[in-house]
Amino acid sequence: MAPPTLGEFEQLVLLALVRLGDQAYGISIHGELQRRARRDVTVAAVYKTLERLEDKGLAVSRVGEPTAERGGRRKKYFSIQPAGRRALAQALASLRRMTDGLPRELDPLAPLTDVEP
Amino acid sequence: MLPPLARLLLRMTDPAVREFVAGDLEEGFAAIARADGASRARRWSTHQAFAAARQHPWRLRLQPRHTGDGLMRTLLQDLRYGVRMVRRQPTFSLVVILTLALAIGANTVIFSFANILMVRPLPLRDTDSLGWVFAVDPHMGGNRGPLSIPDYLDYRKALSSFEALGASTRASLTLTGRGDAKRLTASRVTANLTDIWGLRFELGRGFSVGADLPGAGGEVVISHRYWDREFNRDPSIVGQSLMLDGRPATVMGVLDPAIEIGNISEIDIWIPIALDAAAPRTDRIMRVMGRLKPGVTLAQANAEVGQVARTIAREHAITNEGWSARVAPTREAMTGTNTWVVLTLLSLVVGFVLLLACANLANLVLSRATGRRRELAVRSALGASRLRVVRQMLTENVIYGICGGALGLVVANAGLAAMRAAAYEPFFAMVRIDRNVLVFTAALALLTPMLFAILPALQSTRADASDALKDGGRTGGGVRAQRSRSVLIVAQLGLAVMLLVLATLLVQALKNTADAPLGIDERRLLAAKFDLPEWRYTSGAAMAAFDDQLVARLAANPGIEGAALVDRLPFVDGEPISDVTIDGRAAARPEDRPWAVCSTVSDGFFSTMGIRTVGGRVFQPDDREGRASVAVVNREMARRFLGGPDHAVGSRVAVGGEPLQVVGVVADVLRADREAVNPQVYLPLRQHPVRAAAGKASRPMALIVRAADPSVVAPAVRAQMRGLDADVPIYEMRTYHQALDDDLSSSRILGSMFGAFALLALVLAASGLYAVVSYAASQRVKEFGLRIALGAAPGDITRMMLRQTGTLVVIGLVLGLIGGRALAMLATSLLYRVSPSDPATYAGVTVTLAAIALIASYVPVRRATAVDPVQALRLE
Repeated sequence: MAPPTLGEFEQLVLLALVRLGDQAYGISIHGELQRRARRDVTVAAVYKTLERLEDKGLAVSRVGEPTAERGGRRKKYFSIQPAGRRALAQALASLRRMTDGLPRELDPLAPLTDVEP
Repeated sequence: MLPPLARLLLRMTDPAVREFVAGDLEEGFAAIARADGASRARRWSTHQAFAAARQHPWRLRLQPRHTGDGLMRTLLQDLRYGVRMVRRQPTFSLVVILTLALAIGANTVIFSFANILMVRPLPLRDTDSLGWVFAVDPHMGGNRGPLSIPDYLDYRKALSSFEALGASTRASLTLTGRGDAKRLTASRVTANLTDIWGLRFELGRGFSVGADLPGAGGEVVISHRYWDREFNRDPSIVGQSLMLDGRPATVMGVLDPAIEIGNISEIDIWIPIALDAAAPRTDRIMRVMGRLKPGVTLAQANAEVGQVARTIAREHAITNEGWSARVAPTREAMTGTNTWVVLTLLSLVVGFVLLLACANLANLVLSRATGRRRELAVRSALGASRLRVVRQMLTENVIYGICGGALGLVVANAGLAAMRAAAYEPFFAMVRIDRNVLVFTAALALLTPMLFAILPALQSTRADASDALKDGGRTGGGVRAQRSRSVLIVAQLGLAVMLLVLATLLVQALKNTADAPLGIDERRLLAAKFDLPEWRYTSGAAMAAFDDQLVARLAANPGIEGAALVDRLPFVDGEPISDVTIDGRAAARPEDRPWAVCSTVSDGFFSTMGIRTVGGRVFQPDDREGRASVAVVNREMARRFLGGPDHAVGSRVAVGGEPLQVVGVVADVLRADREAVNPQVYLPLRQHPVRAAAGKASRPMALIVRAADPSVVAPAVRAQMRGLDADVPIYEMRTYHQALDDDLSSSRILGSMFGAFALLALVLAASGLYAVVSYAASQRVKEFGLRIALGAAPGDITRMMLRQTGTLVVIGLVLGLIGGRALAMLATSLLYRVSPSDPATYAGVTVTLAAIALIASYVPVRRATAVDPVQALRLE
């Protein structure tokens, strides 16, 4: 079965899960999106997307231990599933294909691929 | 720690994610607070929490997840849908909103009154343990009377149920030494009164203990309003000395403005009263109240006061025989008798108006709901529960309620502003929209839609979906809907009739009051008052000289045709009653004792006022001190006590122990309430120049001036007074016409209120009837077509329809007339010279309503029967 197509924000959230590894939970994902993707979204929106990813079987969650800095509340950790990795890879590949050969200023991936100035 | 609003919002968030989101926000909050400060963190977390509540609303898990029936979401959805419905039918919406606005506005106005009189806490300490001692008057029948100073002192000595007993009385003071002489309204009080009432001070403090003992130094307390007006809120006023009635007095404090309610707000200055145990017991001037001892009930205090009253009546039979006393609670004491009647009536009336509006709207919504049955059926066929549909319909109507309430506030505000502009009494200035009123209006705006929308909503959702979906199914609603419409119409008409009856009677009473022949010629008269300070005019001769000079100076002015002085302006001032002895005879029983209202007047009084001489002569310059004491009586006095106008001249009467010879009889002047004529004895001012002072520090007197244009001569009158003595304050200067008008302004406002409400009720009832009949007719167009096709004349059908509505109209009319009479009986005390069962009124209302009902039903029926039968039958 072909992996489902991803919305842009879903891609970003999945990428955040990849980057954060076993430290991916609500506020850390939110911070990652803010710092790297410059996305000023709400924590609630992040949860909404995570819920959807979980429903699609692309991510999975587990409940952690309560900590004092959270006022004794527990964390909900998320991690990417193999299906999620596949979907993400596919999405990035099609993005790469679409940007191939475009003038440099239009290629959002250029800074990643350009090694020489 | 998250801000409270964020926590509240999180509580509204789906418990499935709440804990995690809350924890995340806590972490984020801490991080942002460290980096950017707490206020930013607070804003951020509130924003986040709001998003969480919106995106993860807490829903009741009755339905599977993801069908999106969160409480918040449904409400928003319903609101959006409601707004769309409201905008899709602008005419309908406008009618509903306007109806609601008028009804809610009327209720808001009346509540603003009730708010001041009953709801707002009185600015007194612990009102439950305050008892107000009232004299019960055997002669006039009043039970809210004041007591005399010696009576008060007796009660204070004898009563054991009170911790402290205080008293107050109104007086006026003249302030000099600060520009023109000014007259102040004062409350003369016992020194313990501030304590008994628990008055608070903006500045300074109350009186010293014993400030009311004879010989104590002058201390005064001023009201906040007066402090503002006269001293521009100068805080250094405390400790300053004021020249009052020629004596210095120290300002001890400025009262808290909260006490300025009702007529208390008229008081400029509070001053201790010197209690004179030798004052006559007939001078009943003291309002007495006290703080009950702990554990003593009002009933117990009442019993003791009754006992003491009997003792006093026994010991002072001449002055107190028959007099009793009672204890009243604070609310009753501080609200006038008629106030209760008026407020009850008004509340009933506006309540009725609201009910009427609701009935109307219920009818409208019902008609529309039946029209929308197919839409509702589709919704329920698609899986909406009945609760969901009802909720949707209620939400829609709540939108109307909110719009109507908001507009109602605007209406009420405009009404109150108009009232303040028309009113003379300061009470009206206090009637404003405050927080209580806002809460009341908001509650009304939210509850009214429930009242008029719940029934139609339930009824129209009861229908079977498959039935309604069938094309061409009759959509007129069942027998039940028809019957509830009939009941609503009867109720509407009944209520409208009730209000019409009451309003017609009241307006008639008002007209009678305004038109009653007063017995004076009040046009072209200017009236003003002045206080002659006794510390300057120490003898009767000095006062008489001042009076003579004043009248002469005034009369010498161009444009002034006549001038006179009187101690009591008819219709404007009170009418104190004096006992009179006739030819030295003493009456056996106190209730048989002759009595009269006494006035001291200058020579020109009768001619200036336009009071005719009936027999004998009026006063002459010769009736001065040293000559035989004379009196003039009115026709009523002569008729009642002196054997008729022809026999009165020459008889001997005595007022306050002074024998007088009656030299003339003059025409009657109505009593201030215009109900009847008091027996009246006029005394010549020149023989009694000090009488009006009656122990006061200044002698109050009114001057009247007849002039072609009374308002033009006002400056001349002021100038003459200033020229004579600048320290004599002149006040309340207005044309007599204006004075009478001011006197009636409250009644007029009341009359217009009732009139407006009744008119509103009539319009509502008529439009309700119109709507119902036209709806019923439109539902039966097919039937009409059939009947006409079968040979019925359009006139037959019209008659048939009118007969059916006619029955409803008659039932409503009869019920309304019965209810209207009950309402009128409640209002008897307000009905001047109108019987509460005045047949003309009832007949007039019947005819008016019947005519309006006929028009309201004829027009739509006519329209329905005018259709082409062929077309009507094709409607299928």
